[in-house]
Amino acid sequence: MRTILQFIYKQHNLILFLLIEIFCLAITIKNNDYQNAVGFSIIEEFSGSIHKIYHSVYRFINTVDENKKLAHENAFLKAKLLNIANINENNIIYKDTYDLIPTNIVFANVFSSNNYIIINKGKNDSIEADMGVICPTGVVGIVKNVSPNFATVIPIINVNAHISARIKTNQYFGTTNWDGKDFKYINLADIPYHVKLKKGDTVITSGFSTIFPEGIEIGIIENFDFNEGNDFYNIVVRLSTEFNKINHVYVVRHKKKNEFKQIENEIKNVR
Amino acid sequence: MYVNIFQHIIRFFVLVVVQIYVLNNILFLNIINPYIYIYFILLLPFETPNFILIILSFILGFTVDLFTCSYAIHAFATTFIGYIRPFVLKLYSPFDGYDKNTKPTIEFYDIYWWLKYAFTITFIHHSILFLLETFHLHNLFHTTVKALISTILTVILITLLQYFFHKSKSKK
Repeated sequence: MRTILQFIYKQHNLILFLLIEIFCLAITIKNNDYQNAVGFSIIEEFSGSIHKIYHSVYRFINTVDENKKLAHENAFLKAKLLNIANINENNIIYKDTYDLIPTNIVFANVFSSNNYIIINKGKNDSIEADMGVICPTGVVGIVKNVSPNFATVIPIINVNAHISARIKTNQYFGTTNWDGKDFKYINLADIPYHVKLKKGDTVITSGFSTIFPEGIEIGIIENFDFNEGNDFYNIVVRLSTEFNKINHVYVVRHKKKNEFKQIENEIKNVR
Repeated sequence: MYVNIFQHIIRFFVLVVVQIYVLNNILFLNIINPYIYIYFILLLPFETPNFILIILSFILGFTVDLFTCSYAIHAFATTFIGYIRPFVLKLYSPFDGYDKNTKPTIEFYDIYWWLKYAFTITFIHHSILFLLETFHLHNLFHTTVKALISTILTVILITLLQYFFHKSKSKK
């Protein structure tokens, strides 16, 4: 017993070091449990409020630019509205199922491989986990954690983010993934190689879940090739969203999400 | 003595704020991301007890993690360099050891010593950080190049900081 105590006393630095490192590794590997364990939303609320102070200064400096962008978007939306009135009633379904909640980004980290974004609306504004986030130019990401006044968004340029995407011209669909290198490009997987592709084809969301409405732009095909012996293309997509510039975003709320979930669960029960 | 502690605390907060709001938003040539907050650990006095060094390193890393939602990868890397700092100091120690009343700066030791010391610790920190960030080995070459170039930039930045805040004092 005494020797053990002596050993601990002698090596207390090493033991402290190892304990801290194991703690850090555990948090990093089991990152989902950690958020529940240490009350992640409290931390998020705290860091969010500090990011907000910084953001208010930043926004003040960029007001002119932002106003221009918003004016452009307004014009674009008005034009779209006029078009809808002219075409047919089918388009109105879109309007009924989805709500857009406008928010601002208070903090965006887009230069590492595990990127994330914090927005300044949370549970109090009826934002929940697994809602889609879009901006005027395209898809941004999916809400992951929600605290009363803030929410964390996992952007599509995160190595863990995968969303279902469709090529607009031929309707084939696949999954996006990101290799963690360049925030301007993502990859599109699972497109079989008998499909004819063109550089410059538009890639849009498939609408196969309640997260994103169908037809939100993701980007355009920059390049594609396929390896011998592989049935699928490697497609590089240039994102339409400029992640180093985004500020105003919209959270997409599906009004009939519960109904959708219910049907999904029923299918699982039948199996 | 108290003034010193105060200086360290101020340095801690300034470095963390600069790191989160300025340097994390700059990405040179798509791969270079300097992490200058470890300058705080480099400048802690020689006589800091090892376990305090480890705990301070952990607190520094964890603070950065909280604000960048990166789980605990910064904490892991900083704790590691906190632990190995005494060994690195021993490795590069001058012939007669470190004098009392001196600090690990270019004010007391020459630029070669500072570069060796800063480069070793920064490179270890950046390698661990980038490896943990990607969390797999198949981009190993990319990660190593990224770590190496980022290390060089970090060392340049913190050496400039040294010239700004420490060299000027010694001239007086």
